[in-house]
Amino acid sequence: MSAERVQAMFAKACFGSPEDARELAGDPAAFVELHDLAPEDAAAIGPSARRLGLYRRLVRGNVTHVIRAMLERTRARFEAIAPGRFDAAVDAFLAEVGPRTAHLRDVPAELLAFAAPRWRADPSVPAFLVEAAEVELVEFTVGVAPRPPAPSDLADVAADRSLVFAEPLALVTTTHAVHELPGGDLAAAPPARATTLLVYRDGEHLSRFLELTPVAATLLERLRAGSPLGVAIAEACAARGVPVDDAVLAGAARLLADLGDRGVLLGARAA
Amino acid sequence: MTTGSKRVNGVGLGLRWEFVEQILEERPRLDFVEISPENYMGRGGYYDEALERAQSLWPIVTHGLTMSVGGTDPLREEYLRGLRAFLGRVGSPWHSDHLCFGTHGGAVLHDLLPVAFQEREVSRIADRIKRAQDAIGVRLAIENISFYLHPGAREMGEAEFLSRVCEAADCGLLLDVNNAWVNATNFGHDVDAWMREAPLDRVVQIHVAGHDWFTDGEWELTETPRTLAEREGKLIVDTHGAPVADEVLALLARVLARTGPVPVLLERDQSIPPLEVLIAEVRALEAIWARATEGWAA
Repeated sequence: MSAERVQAMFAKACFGSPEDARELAGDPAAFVELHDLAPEDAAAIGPSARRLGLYRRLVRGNVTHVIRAMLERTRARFEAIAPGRFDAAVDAFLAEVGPRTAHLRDVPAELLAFAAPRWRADPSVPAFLVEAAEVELVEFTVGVAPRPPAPSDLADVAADRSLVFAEPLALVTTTHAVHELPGGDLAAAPPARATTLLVYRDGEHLSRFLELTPVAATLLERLRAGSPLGVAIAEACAARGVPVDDAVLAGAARLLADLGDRGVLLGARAA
Repeated sequence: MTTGSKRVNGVGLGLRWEFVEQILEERPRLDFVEISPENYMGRGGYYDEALERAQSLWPIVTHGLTMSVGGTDPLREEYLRGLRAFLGRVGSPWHSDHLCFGTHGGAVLHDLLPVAFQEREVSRIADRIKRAQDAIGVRLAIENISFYLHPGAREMGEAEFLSRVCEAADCGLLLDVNNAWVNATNFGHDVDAWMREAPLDRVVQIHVAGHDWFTDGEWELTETPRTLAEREGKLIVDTHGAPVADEVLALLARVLARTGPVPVLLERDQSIPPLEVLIAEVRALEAIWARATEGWAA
């Protein structure tokens, strides 16, 4: 029980809110007393309690370093458009939830899962900023995700066969063309245009983006869900309210050829 | 110790992203490299490929960051299962982590926080080490950490605590001589006396790293003090951000003379210099290692 209370105090010192930090800095011994430690432990810690502030600095430095590295463009845009809102979300995340993952690289995704709903409800944060954060993060995650082995018995692509893609892949749908944001203008807003991006990994392990038409996006969704090619084309056209005509078939052929050239389409399942 | 058919001894280098591409291209002679599984588990792409290339060049030992053997949260079974699978893949002859806590209330703090050197903590932590060792399927070694605040009443010294935990858990010791020196300097005790009490017979590996001096209160980086008087109001933080200090190198030589030839690993995590500078530091450590262990049978 004693160790549990001491560790709770350290966790509060490290991940507590800015208000907690002010209390710690203002009167470290009083901060220790708040945690109901065994008297001998409190007495031993008291004279050096200000060093809890060093632990706060070290712990938060590790976590915020990886967040800022992996969401570098997002944080820069937040600072240009909604100053302080990004770092405030990090503070709130640490104070209310904290990282749950053993992998530092997964902390930014946990932050985004926590912060995105709050940012969407915050009128001072433009909607595209949240989408930009999601796209920046998926760019990283696709780049480092494990690649499952491809089936050994791949067949040629045919209308009655399901297709096999080189994972990892992601389809990201946004209401703004955030991938067109200019790198040098942090205050710029992207065109408000419903956009679906295919995010894939190239042979150099770099994440790449391909903007898809609505029919192409739905076709890829259906193919990734396992529908045979012919069925997937019919499903995509039905979902988008377009006829299955020569133009659609030619477009599908071009898309699949392009994906083959990019190394995204591996072939078809033999069975 | 062997990993696959490769013997692990001599001097190695901690593999870091900042120079991984260069070191994989240049392939300097190294006795082994050390990696943190947390940086590779569940990863593909470039990171996975880099690991495979490193495995083909050097023996690999693993050093974890988030086991939290001193924590009061339950050990994370999913993490241990993933770690076991990863260790099987890389063939590390042992796995090390820190004698610290790094989790609380379900949160992972991603740093090394101190445990109290108290009687009841010996058996509590030893029991967690034994369970973790069983779960990962290889010998576990625990590392002494640098700490800046003892978290409660001290019932024994750090070296006695280490010794008793290692004995109760029957685990190995990863002896970080920089951490020992940092703690001795910050808290004002004799590091050689500390070493006489530490369980050097259990050392499976040694770490060395650099450190930096900070002001005690504002935690601002400051010059290395040259006199005892200049140390007032300052403390050392284990940054791994500087070359290994001469005093630590001298301590390493004294320790190696007692342990005999055990693997020594250079860690560098901040202000990382050009690779050739790191390799030169490895070569200097090799000279120390050879001189200190020359009286020991191979």
